[in-house]
Amino acid sequence: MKRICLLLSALCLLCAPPAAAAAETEAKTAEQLNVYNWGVYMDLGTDDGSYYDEATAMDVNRAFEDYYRQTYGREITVNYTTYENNEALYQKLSAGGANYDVIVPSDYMANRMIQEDMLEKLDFANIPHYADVDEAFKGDDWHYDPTHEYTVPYMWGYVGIVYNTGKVSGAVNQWDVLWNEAYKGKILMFNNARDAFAIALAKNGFSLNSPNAAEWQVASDDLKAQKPLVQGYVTDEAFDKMQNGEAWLAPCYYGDYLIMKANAAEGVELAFGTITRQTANKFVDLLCIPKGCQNKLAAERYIDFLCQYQTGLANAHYTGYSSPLTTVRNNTGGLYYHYAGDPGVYPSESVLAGYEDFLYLGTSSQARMDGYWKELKKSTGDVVMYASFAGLLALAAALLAVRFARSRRRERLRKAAREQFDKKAKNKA
Amino acid sequence: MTNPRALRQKLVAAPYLVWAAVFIVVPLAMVAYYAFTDPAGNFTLSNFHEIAGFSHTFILSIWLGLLSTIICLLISYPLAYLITRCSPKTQRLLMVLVMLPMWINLLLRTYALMKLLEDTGFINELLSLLHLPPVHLINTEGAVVAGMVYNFIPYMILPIYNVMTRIETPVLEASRDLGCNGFQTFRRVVFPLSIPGIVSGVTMVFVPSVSTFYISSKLGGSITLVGDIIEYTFNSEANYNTGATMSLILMGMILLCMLVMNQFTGGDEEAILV
Repeated sequence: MKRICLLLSALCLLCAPPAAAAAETEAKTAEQLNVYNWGVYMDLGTDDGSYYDEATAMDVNRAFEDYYRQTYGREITVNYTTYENNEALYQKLSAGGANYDVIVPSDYMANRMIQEDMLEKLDFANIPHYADVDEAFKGDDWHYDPTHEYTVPYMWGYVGIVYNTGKVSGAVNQWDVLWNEAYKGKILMFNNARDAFAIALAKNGFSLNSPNAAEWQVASDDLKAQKPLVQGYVTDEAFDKMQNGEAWLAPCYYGDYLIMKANAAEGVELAFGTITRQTANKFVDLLCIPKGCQNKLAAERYIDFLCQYQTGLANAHYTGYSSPLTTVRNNTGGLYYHYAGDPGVYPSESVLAGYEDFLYLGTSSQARMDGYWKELKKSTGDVVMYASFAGLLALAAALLAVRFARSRRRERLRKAAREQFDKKAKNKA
Repeated sequence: MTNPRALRQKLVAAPYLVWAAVFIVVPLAMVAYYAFTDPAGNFTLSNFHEIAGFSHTFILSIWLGLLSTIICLLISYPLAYLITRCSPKTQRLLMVLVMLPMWINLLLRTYALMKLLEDTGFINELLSLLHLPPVHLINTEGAVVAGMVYNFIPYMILPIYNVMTRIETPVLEASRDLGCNGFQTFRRVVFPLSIPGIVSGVTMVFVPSVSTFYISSKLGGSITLVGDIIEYTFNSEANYNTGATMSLILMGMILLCMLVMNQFTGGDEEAILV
């Protein structure tokens, strides 16, 4: 119901004639803040998230409007819209004309935007709660924002392998298990070039951001070798297939594993293997202010609001991902935190030591990867198929020939009959 | 004064013409433009060269599309014929049953089929209950064809049924009067008259089957059809030029196939007249 109201009010805002809108701003001088975030990635007071706790749930945007009024004595309206993936966000921004104040790209996309001068430097004086962000994000464990001037972490997570303990034996701590013949047809892979290649690169001990063409070639060959063992390249189907035992092994984010485990069918026991012997991907989504922002001060205040304990807790419950805020992680505020102390959600530093974040690959590496990926996906020749296809074509050709011959003969007969008829008529005459 | 009337007719057609121009002609022109240009907008043929490596994928798509079209035809034709033999009331009921699956979204139907065919799915659960050995169905070409047939079969039944109901009983009686037995009546009267229905049925099944990408990605596992590649090229790679070239070639191949198929029907209509 709340959503419908929101939608309606948003519609009203859109439809209000300019004159009326102008009159309203004169009366109330409400500021506007345009926030552009991933779908299902912020607590809006609904209970469709990972974990719902009535005491901590809030509609973050409405809460910010109240907070803004109380703290700064001014009205503000948050216009909240969502996108599906980093590429959609990038296309929207680079096409121009879009007007956003806060965006939430992932590490490699923020890295690209920094390189392409699409982000504003943040004034951290307006973001005092940045002090609560884990020091790990301010050192050189992560590489997306080398000077730490453009980004504030929002949520983070990491990849491992979810597996069916009843079917998979032995330790699951390295990517090679996804190449194990014993699990042929029971292995799922990411249906996404960057994530799939990261696994193949890591398996060979290469960096996920390798600039070396030869290493990408090795990874590509490895993915090709793996293809006959793979049940499918999937995105959301991974949940279903792992939960009901259809597949036994899949690379996955820890947050997704929690959902799978909670929904697993009877008799299906799932576990999560962290990658300890090779590297793997850790990701963080970042609060940034794009160039062309209309209200930078309010945007920074909004980012600060998201870094506060209660907001961070609400979003950590809703998304199920790991919060970069030490206040949430250590739950200093004393409210109930469902994932407090969960060694999966907050793994120790030694577990994450080998993990790497994605950086922007650059146009040529990106194109090479896309090429390899399509190469992997394309079908190879199959004798049976070609034989039957050729057979069908031959059959069609034969049928056509027969028909053609038949119609020729019919034509001939008809002609002969007409000639005979004419002859008879002539004879009679 | 024919002018106002002609004008009125044009006005009536105007909404569709505008629709066709904006949503059919312009996109087609854009596809053609992208197919022959590079990202900078210069004329090039390199896109065609680039996708030469996908010939297997193209042929696999057409092969599976053909298979499912043939299977649809083999199932639908007798079915449509039998339905027309029923009383009008039963016919209505049967047609509702044929169309019922179409009330459900294609994506959901495919997902449901996936759940049926899986190794741990309904069919295999049933087999194991009956102590029969399990069968591997999902992630095979057969599963993809099954998905296409299941999703598109109403498009084959409906046009054939429509054409068949229009064959009037006197025509059949006349054929019997002139000495045809049941089979001859079918071969010389019913079948030739139903060919327009077969043609539109074949078109309506073949074209979506060849270009599908959702069905193959859900039921085919690692089987990739040309639709999947086009989807990836546009959505993930944002490479509109190669994607457009592939779409153009796919359209060309579909047209070619339709042309060959129509060869089988063009002559027959003539045969009716003889």
